[in-house]
Amino acid sequence: MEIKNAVDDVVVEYEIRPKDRISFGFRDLWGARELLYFYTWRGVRVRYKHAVLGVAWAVLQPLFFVGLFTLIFSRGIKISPNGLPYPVFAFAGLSLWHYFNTGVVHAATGLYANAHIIRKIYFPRLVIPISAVGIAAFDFISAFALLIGLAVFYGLPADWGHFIVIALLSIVLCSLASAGLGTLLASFHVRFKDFQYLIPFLMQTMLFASPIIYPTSTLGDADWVKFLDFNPITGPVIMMRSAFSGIPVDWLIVGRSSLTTAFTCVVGLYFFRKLESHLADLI
Amino acid sequence: MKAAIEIKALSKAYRLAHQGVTATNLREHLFRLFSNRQSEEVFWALKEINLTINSGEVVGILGKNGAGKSTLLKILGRITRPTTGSATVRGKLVGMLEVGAGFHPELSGRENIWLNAAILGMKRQEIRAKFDSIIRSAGVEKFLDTPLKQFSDGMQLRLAFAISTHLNPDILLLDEVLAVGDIDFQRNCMATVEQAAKQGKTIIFVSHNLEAMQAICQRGIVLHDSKIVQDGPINQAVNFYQQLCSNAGTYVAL
Repeated sequence: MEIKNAVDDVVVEYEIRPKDRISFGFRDLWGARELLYFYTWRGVRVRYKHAVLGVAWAVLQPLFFVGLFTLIFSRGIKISPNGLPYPVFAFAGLSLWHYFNTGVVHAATGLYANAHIIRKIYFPRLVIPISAVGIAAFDFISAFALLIGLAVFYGLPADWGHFIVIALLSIVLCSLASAGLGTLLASFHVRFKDFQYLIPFLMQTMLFASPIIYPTSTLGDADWVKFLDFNPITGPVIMMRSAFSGIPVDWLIVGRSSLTTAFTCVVGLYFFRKLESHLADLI
Repeated sequence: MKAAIEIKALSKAYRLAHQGVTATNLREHLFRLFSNRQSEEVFWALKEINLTINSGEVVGILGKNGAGKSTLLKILGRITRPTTGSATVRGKLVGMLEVGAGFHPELSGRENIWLNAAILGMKRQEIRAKFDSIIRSAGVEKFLDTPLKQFSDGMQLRLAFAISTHLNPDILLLDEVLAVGDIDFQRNCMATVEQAAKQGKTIIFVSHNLEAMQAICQRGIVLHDSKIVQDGPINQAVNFYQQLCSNAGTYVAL
């Protein structure tokens, strides 16, 4: 049973102290990249193990809302979704939203769901919220494939080169937004149980305060409307729509939205790292 | 050679709230902003522990429930941090603080091996290389594609144990692994621990099974009321511990 340990023969030495100097722990996370992959893979496996429709659920949920909103908005309320057919307009927003929302909610609640492991085994805890976003990304891939199919059906995207660059940027930004807010809420959720009730409320508010269901232009030019640009999901959504329509991106809006994302990433990481050292005592 | 583990003036405090819960909701936190924190009680799970364990030593830790044994292992296993003091660990440390922590009941045996090995810190390449050896030593060849929830307790234990020992650690922390499983498993467990000890691994062993302790360990440490009250050859430590238990009512900390 003698197995040579080929991977690391170096003697590791570490000191356990009450507090580390503040670091964001990227090195730990890099060391745990394979674990991150396994954790994401486990989540995907567990999620679809007993669902008869399996991965189809990832597509059905946003698709249902697209149908619903198309019924309501394309007839009753007249809106002009900047050059896009309403179904593409709505699905581009809703599929991203579904990704963002699932990532945030699962990242925020994942620490409790994994409490039994956290109490018994050491590994970089950041793996949990980040893999939650990874699992949501897996769902998003199927929805995104369907979205492209729908767009092609309408003779879109207008410019494929523009599409690839902007759509990729949008997805990256959406992933960061989801991971940032998810990590921030995860550390609050452990400290205050109230967040269990606050998170759904917050997410719902964010959905309505974004141009996902309706274009913000319908709200007029009042100054307060600009605050909606700071919604972290607004940037990815308008970029995704621009990717399909070929209309240039309004970078000012994307910038405002990204500012919030950058803020949640930094603050989220900071709080999470502070929490990490005594996480096992709290949950 | 430097010691495998050096613990210096290590203490760990837990905060206890008076009604049995720590403040985890906003209302309590807001309330506390305006009151002094008198409602909080501090419990010291470990007080000023000093301990050096040399490489290759097999050490048994004895103590009653709540004496601080598990807290000590949790700190060494980096699951929680000390409140004051420090510990230096030299070598790859693997803690088995609960057999099968990290297993998922819905996933198959194969999937669980991959996942658990990864959680415990193995790289993909390493898992692939050791996979066959793990299933052989756990004796689960026929159940690789069966969901783990259909495994018997004994099988789950064997699998968990096989994974941990294949991590090839320099230092192994074992918390009450013998408390579960049947006699066969316990014997198996003991044999593996003995083998690991012969290979020169450092082992820290917590158990209420005094016979097993005397069989494996050379050195014994008794924890009582969050402090080390005895440190010496295992037989001496076991005697001390037995005495401690029999005078439970009248014992006064040294």
